Amino acid sequence: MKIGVYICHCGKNIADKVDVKKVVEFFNNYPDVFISRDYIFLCSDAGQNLIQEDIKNFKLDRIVIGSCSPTMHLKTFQGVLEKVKINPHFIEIANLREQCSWVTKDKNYGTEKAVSLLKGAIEKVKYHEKIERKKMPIAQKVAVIGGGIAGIQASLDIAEAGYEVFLIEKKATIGGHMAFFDKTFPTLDCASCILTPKMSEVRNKKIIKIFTLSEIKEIQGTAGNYILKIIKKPRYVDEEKCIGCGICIENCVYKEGKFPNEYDFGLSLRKPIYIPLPYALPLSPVIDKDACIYFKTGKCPRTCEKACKEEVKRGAINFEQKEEEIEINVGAIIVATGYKTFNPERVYEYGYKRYKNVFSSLEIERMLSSSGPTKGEILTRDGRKPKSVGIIHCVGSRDINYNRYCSKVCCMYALKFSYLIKERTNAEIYHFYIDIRASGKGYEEFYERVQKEGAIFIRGKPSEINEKNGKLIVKFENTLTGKVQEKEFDMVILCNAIEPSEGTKEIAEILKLSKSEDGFLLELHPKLEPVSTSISGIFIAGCAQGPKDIPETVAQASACASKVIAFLNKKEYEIENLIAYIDEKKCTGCGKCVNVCAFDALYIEDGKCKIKEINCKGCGICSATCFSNAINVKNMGYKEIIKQVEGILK
Amino acid sequence: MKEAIFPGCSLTQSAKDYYYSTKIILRYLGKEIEELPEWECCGATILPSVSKKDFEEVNKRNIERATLLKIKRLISPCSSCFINLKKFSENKVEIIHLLYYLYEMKDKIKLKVKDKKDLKIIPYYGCQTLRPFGKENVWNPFSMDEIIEICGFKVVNFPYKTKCCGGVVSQIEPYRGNEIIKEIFEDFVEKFDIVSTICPLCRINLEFTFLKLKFKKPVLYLTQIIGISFEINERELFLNKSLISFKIK
Repeated sequence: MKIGVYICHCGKNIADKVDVKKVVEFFNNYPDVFISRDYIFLCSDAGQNLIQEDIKNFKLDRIVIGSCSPTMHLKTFQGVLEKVKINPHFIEIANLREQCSWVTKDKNYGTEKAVSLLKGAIEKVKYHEKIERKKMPIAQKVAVIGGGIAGIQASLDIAEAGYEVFLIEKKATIGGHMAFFDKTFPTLDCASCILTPKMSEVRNKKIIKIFTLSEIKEIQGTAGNYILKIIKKPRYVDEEKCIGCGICIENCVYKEGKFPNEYDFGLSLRKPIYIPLPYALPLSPVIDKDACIYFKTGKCPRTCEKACKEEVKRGAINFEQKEEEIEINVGAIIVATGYKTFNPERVYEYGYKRYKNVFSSLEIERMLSSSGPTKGEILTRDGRKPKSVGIIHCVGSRDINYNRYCSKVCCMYALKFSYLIKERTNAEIYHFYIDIRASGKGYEEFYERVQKEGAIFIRGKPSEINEKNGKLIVKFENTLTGKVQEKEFDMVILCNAIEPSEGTKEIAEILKLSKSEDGFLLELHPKLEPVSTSISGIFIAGCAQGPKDIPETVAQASACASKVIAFLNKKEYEIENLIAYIDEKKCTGCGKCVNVCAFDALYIEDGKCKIKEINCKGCGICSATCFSNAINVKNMGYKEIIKQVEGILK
Repeated sequence: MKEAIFPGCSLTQSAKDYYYSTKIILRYLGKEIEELPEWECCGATILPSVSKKDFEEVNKRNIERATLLKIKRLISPCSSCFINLKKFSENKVEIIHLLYYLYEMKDKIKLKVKDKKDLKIIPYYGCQTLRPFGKENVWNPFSMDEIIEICGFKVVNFPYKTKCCGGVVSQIEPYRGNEIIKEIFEDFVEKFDIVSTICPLCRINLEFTFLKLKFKKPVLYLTQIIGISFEINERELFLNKSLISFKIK
């Protein structure tokens, strides 16, 4: 056996704490090692060529590389082996950067550890077997989960390229949070005027299928061939037949709205049958099962159904609709499940819900919207125009008690509120901020404009809000003057943080996506792979990945779409056959591995364990569970690991 | 010895009624708890501004005494002692405020309560009980509320449960101290019968100021209030010793 050992300096990353020359020298006189070399950047083109030439010249048959983590560059070096027609699994990477140099202070220890890690890798690579890759056709369809602006943009881009798209949305209408807004910062153009054309484009594209009131229940398969099970909840109105005339709503037995409208955050009242937003898509009403008398008692004349049948002759209302389960087969998935806002009730001292004139940001967005509960007027709960408004920034973000991260958009929407409220009520406006973060195109200029309009900026976070004689008294320290002061307001707006939505958490659970510390979905690489995930074929866009404003979300959605198109365009997907295999002679059929498998890849048949190859991801948890050592992952089995440990200890 | 009480100097002088009422209700609940032997004054908030070193030594000595006697839990009825002991306990001894000690025994308290009484009570936690070592929401705690409810009284919905009473400000600048307390209780004068406290300093402060402001509402310790619900003799609870007298009808 001829083994080549290559050690990367990784600039100074490895060479700083590992004496590379010494290591190379050591392995030049090591059994089975034919050649040992070092290079400053092995992953560079020149580094790759070096290995390639050596393999050609010396006919090496196994390669050991001491470099960064295999998750980073295993693929790169496997590519080198493929070029010279050696099975790409005849390679082993010893992680000298993350597991050695970065975590070692002393150079001598570092060198020692590097040597033992490499010894382990050499012993292990000797037992590597040939594994052939499998080719699978890619289903030429895409599922986009989440119908906000990110989902809409991604769907449109993919549909433009001619692929079929399933757009899956939990709510009754697509549009997401952007549909709630009136104006967008910093240009103050109308959010619905730029969103609704996109929504109608979605409707007009025949290859985009919209599933509203739907959720993902289950996923099976691998990249290129995912099978998604969707639960579609009943709307009780047939979307195909409905024309959105609203006659059913007029004829509902409730003459006035009685239930808080969740699309206006409880600021207005609706009937049990309602259209979520005037520009909803699909534009058909939905019946709230918990509010409708028919569903509660069964004793309702069903005037809505009659009106629909007799007056407009559509017969769209169907009280017998049932929950449906739909199965779709897709090649790739885009997760754009968006965000939710921080519940400001948690910050007790600001008195949200306790004091009636403390509002959250989304409530103000709805008030500002011309389709909202007050038709664009800013009013206190008793219907007056406020004379003074306090805007508190960073509620729930940049706070060790709640969320450590910056929510990125709050400063800018606070400035937008400031501008619009000034315009509509001429109120005196105070901002309480920590820092103003206006880093975007035209953002700083907008900040300046708001300052010139006369808004007052106070650096300092209020300590508490009290209510006296219907006025809100905000207590704060102005950290620029060092004075503790109090100020009376008619209205206080809390700029609450952005948090990962419930849907994001659920989807992460179902699709087994990894999350970062703050609960947002984790991208594959923070700089170079911002839309891919650790699972191939699944991509992320929008606020599910982290707080973002609209331009950034749209950019990311388009990036996602181009990644998906490139992926689908390959038509065939090569899967690593790095999966578990079962030694049937040893298997006792105890079923322990079946219970631990997270991907449903194992099952028991005739008292023996069997594997569904398509589902196996080669994680190896079954192997660790097996008592009789009957199940192993190729090249990562019991034998190889023991040899590696022996090598390290040698 | 597993549990001991750390009375602190207030409870031996100005807040004797707090100490005796605590002892008596604990006896009713079947607990005989002894004092930590040879305890010293914790220094309150005054000593650290005079000498940090002495402050540290005094408190470390108190903790050391408790550890030597293998005491697991030190109960502190005074909020100031509670903070100082907790600061230096280093997890050697568990320091627990009397409020939470009673809260743990709420089921036992429930069994001893006699009749329901029509008294409206403000639970006033003061600033130091929950800051900075609070176990519950600093702005809206509930443990004292619950105990008072269990005892069959009505709890007043009071937003300033944990506002500072002014503390030593009342002694240095009486005018300012009065203002602070006036601001807190002014709007509620007609809405309550008793203020319940768990801090000796709050008690003194509120009582004096209420006299000056002519609020004429008694300020009692939580232990006395529990005692009233147990129908313990007025004299044993020292109710006649307060500045604003309170009589059980």
